Amino acid sequence: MKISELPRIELANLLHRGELLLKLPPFVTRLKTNVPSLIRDFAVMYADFEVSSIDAFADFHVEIASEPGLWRWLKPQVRFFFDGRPSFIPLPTVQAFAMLEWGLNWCVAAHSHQYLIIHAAVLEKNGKAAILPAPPGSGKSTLCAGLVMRGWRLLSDELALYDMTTGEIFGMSRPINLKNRSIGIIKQFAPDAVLTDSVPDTTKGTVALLRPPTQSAVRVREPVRASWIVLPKYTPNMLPLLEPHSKARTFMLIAEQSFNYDIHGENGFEAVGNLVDQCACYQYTYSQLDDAVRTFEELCSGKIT
Amino acid sequence: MTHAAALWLSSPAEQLKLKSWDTEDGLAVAYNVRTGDTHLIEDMALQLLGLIRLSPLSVEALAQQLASFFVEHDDEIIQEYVFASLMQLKDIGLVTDVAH
Repeated sequence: MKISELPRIELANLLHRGELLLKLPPFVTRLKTNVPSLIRDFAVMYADFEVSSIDAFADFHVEIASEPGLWRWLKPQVRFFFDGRPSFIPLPTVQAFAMLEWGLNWCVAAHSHQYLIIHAAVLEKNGKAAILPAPPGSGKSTLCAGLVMRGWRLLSDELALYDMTTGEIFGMSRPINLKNRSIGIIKQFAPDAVLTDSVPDTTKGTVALLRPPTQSAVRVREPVRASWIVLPKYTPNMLPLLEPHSKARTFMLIAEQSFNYDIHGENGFEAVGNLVDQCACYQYTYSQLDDAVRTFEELCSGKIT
Repeated sequence: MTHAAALWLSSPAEQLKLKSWDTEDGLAVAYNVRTGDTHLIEDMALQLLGLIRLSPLSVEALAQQLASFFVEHDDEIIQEYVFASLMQLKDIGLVTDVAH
């Protein structure tokens, strides 16, 4: 059953009791919350995701709860719990959904060492997939959102889960975290995009989350094999430029952008090497999403090799 | 120890993993199994590691074998360059020097 098929009151009751098991292949997360704004955002953002039966195994047990006491009235805050233990400092209640997303990222990145976890977006079209690894500020999420709103399947905006044995990548297809100017850019680029309210004054500035397209959520179980590694570089007023990028430098970037490369030791080295071997590597400088959509279409259709 | 008095040897194969591509930039990556560190290395370093993988060589011998890499024909300058590269590799634990 999908989240959107649950009556809102039933969804709220399940979340209140901590009995909502969300399928985020390859994981299942048990969620609990008593925060009304979070329940509202969750219902919209995860509308197309499926729930597991209550007795299913859950990889992560997550709760976001309102802080008790007087503060609840003066300065309402929420706290993230992992396996029943408070984690991270409390944040303003208005940041509850962003906190859930950041917390889930942490759960996966800190505990899922059966994968090499790369800080990267992953997109797929016509059976071909691109990995977009990038440090903050490179325009990765904006580019990812723009491509997704033009028909690319979203696997991930943040965490690429690379199975080092099979070479397949999972991504969970979770909402895209847009920041600051990106929010307005995507609203203008894709007026039908569904976003949460913009939340100012977070540690990342103003943030809003973009709902994954239905088709991405429906196909969330399908991993991909990457064909390209593209390093995005947003540069204002620049003409688009897709250039081959050094394989060795791409290797180093993937290693640096992996949360657990060091943990995997020699296997991690071999795995990143295999990934770089199988991919064409590029750096892509862009300033306009329309240009980026054209470039990626050309890449996908084989006009660029 | 001066470079004339030393022989150079790379880490054993089981402790040093190399990955290179047939690309114009000649860059490669090296993984030091002992430290767990990964390094970006240049073509010259990759060639040096290959040459001293099986048996130790002196700077002079290495400079002779790598002479074709250099536009410069001054043996002393080439040896200095080779020595500097070896010292960098030594700093990151990929090669060792032993007394001649």
